[in-house]
Amino acid sequence: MTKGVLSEDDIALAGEFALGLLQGADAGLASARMAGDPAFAAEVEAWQARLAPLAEADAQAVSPDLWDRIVTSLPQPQGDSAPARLLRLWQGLAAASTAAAAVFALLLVTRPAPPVPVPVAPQPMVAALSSTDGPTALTASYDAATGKLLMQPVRMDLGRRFPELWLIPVGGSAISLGMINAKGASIVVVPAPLRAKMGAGVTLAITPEPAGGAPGGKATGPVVAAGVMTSA
Amino acid sequence: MSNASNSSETVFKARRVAEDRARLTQALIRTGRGDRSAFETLYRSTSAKLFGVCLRIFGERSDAEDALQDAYVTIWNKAASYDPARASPITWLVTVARNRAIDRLRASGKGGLAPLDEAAEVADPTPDAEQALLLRRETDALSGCIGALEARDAQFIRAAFLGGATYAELAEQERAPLGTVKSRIRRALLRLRECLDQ
Repeated sequence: MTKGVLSEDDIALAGEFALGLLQGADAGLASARMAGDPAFAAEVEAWQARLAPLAEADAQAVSPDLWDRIVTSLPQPQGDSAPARLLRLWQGLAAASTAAAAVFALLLVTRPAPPVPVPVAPQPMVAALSSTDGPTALTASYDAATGKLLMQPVRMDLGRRFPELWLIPVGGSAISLGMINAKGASIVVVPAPLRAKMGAGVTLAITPEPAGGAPGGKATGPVVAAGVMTSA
Repeated sequence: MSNASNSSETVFKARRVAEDRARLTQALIRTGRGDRSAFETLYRSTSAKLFGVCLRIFGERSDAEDALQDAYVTIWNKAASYDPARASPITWLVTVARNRAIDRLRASGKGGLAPLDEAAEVADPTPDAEQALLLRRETDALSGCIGALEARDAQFIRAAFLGGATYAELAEQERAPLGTVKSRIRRALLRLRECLDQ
């Protein structure tokens, strides 16, 4: 078990999240934290297992026609074309770090071959930010030598709101890295005191916020995309 | 002699439970790879159980069937993210069904406090259910530990889990400040965890 790794506050937070008591930005940030903090994710899953028996009830006969209704509402089977595979990969991403790395690798395939890396240069960190139930997706790559984070939107539609970027350190709470460009690449210079926190396992997340950013530095929108940083 | 036969029966049942679980795990993993016949197997062996979950939350067949349909479409879409190392298949399925049902309940505006006074007991799993042996043990443990909480705290937890009640709704019903209700539930959750993990 994860006893001793998480504080009581975090254990209770995981329980509140599993119960569905967290709302809006709090729920989004907890969900993003699950992606980057295995101990927290394990605690949420442990809460789901603890609470599941509460929903247990006697088995009940289902209408015989329900299976047909389900089949007709499934996405139509597609040929195994590359776009279909890519789409499924995005859909199944579920913010897992290995999946995030795989998606990033796939995105790289569609681009010209990257230059041969200079052996002494530090490895860049990358993340693929997405969500299982929304269209927004971005890639991130971080250069530890310069502290520069390149954010590249793949798809983004936040309506009348603007994307704010959050850093969620392992075992910590969200810190704003400021607003980014919704339509094109942004270079975010990570403030020097935060650079020590930038490493494998930290989560990057996007919330839609009013122009100028989240009031009081606290996210108001839901997390529309999140991903975990891994070594490229 | 009767002891010996009881224990061999227990071993036999335990093996069946393990086999059922392995079958469900396989069906769920294959569903995640887009295998429709595995999905149908999964549906045939779990829909009655998940329908019980949806009925518990909605209390009415038509809404519960809509929620169940929604739950299986979600299961189809998310099955690729199921990790057998992290959750039993039935826990994962019940969690997806419960979460979808609560989302729908909230969206319909029917959520909230109804289950506060209903369903005061954790339901017994059906004796012939495939997972009966293991689930009964877990259900009994949860039932006992929730019973050990203060009655009001236990009702809050049920209202949130089965009725989708939010902190704001609980606070309004309790005529207490939101912060008070929140810290009360957080304390109750920690007590519940301590009891269950003993």
